[in-house]
Amino acid sequence: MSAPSATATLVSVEDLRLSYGERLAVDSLSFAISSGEHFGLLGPNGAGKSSTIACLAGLVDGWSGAISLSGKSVRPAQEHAARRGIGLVPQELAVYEEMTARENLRFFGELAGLQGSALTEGVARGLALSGLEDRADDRVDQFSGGMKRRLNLAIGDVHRPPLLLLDEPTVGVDPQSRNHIFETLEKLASEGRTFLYTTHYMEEAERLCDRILIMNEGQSLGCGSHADLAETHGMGEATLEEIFLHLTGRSLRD
Amino acid sequence: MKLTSAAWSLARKDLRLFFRDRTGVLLGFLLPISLVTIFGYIMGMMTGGGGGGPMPRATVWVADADQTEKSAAMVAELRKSKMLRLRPRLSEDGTLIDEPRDAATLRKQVEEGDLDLALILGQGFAEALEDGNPAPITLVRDPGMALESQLVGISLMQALATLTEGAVFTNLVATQMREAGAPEIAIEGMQSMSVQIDMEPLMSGEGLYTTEDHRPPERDEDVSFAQAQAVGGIAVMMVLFGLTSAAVTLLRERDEGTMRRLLSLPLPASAILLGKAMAVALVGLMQITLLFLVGEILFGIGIWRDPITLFALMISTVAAASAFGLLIAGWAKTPKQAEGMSTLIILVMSCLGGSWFPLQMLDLPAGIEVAMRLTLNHWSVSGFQDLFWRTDSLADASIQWSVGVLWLFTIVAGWLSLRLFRRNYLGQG
Repeated sequence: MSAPSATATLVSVEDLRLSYGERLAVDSLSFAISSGEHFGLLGPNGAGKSSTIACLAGLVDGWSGAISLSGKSVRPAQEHAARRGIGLVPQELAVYEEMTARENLRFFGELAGLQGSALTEGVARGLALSGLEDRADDRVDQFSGGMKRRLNLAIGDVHRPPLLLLDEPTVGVDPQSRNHIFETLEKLASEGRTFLYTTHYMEEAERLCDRILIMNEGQSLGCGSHADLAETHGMGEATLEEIFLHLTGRSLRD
Repeated sequence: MKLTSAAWSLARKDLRLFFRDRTGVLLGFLLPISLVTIFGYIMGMMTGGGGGGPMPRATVWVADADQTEKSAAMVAELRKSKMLRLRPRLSEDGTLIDEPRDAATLRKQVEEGDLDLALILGQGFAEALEDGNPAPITLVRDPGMALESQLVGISLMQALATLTEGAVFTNLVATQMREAGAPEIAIEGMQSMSVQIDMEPLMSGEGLYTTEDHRPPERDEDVSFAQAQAVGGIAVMMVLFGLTSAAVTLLRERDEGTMRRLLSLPLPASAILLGKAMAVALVGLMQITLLFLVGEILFGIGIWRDPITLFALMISTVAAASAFGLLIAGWAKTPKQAEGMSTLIILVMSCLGGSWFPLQMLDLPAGIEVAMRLTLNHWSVSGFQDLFWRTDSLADASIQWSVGVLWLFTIVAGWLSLRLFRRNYLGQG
């Protein structure tokens, strides 16, 4: 993955904290993402990756700290207008199975604020991005898991948001669809698009992300490129997986 | 995107999803229609023809035009009857709670459909009893209240028998015997043997009073009170069930992840809830319209008489049922919780509120009467009953109360739903 072409900060997160009752899900997390950058959140299950995305996407409230998107501060009592700059690709298959691929793209595009020709273009682009042009008018419940995943990703990008939040978008897909998703993201990256990608697969983070933040128990354990992380932690030629296990430990996670 | 256009986009999506499930749609409409049909026919058979239905109380207004000790004693005897709710009511200290009405007023109210039954003790009541002649008693009634008329007849018979120590019957028979030319010795024999006479024909009250029939001219004469109640009652219950299950799709959306995506869009949370409410309400409006059409075709309940009032009641019912569904969806943590809780509440409300049976006719404890009034079904069913049976309109206080209470519930439940939705779906306090 190439280095970011622009350096303007698109996302800034400072001292982010989020609790679910007694449990601290995100603990004093800070990072920044530049415009055009492809940023990875890498961590074991329960590390706080999805909670961080939830804060950024306005899905939860009650967090503290500071988040700004495109220089505009986002408060915990989420202003829905701030979400215009975000496209979320959730971990779940967030599509309506009884609707067709085209209807799904049109519906979410419309709610994201697209109208008229912009909406038509957004739908056509989404169908092309997901490789579903020839199945555009088939109901989603007739699709394979991989096709649904591709549509899931395309819906998040239907309105071409400045920031795409991808929460483990390759969970449960076959190698072909996984590769298609990678190629799609690489295509978006080559267009200078910015995304934040969460995963616990090292090769995905390494292939798609310029910088990686390794998280565990809600905290940041290190942030930078593979080389930066290796150097910071004195691990020379170590693989990303070796660095990850070194930082997060080898004990099993639920 | 504006709140209303966002909500409408969301509502269109829900309507599309609803109608894509053809079996579900078929069941959603066929089941209520079947129930309305079955209950309507059963209630019609039980009460419409004047057969011995199981309703033991009738509300009847009485006017005492004689104003004598005897006529007052008659009213007091009638008041003791367990089959009547006599009006004007009497408080424990013996004062009247309701304003007394004269014979002309009661007659007019029955004629206009505001009252079903009125009993008039005419002038000369006491004198007639003294002379052993038939007393001037008139039951002014809506003939659709056939069963209730019989209850009044039995109560009258009991009261007159008490008042005359049984002489009323033998005097009546003696009069008829004389008219038939029977010799006095035979009459005297009958009177002395009166205890052995079969009083059965007198039990119905025939000959004790004359009957005047009035019903609102707009109402189909074949419609019975209970039948009109059954159509409205089942319609309300099925709309509650249908709309609650539609609203519970909020939980399905949360579990399947589409809610996360919707919440990440540049929309206020209220738009998501409003969109759901709009879709749910439109489906409910279609259901209830179809149910009343079936009620009209099969039983002639009179839906075309006052379409504005009908629409006002339908929209109020659907709004309240939608808000109830959203409240359940907002409160429940899982679809199973929502299904269990909504089934329980809807069945209890339907039973108490008169969806299954005209419960208001029974002599219920005061606590149950209060509980009845706390149900959505009560206000909705009584509103439809006032429209179909009493031929009331929006200009009448009875229907204004129903509409008002239903909208009050809608507003309160809607506000609570939004609070719960924010707390349970967004983690806001």
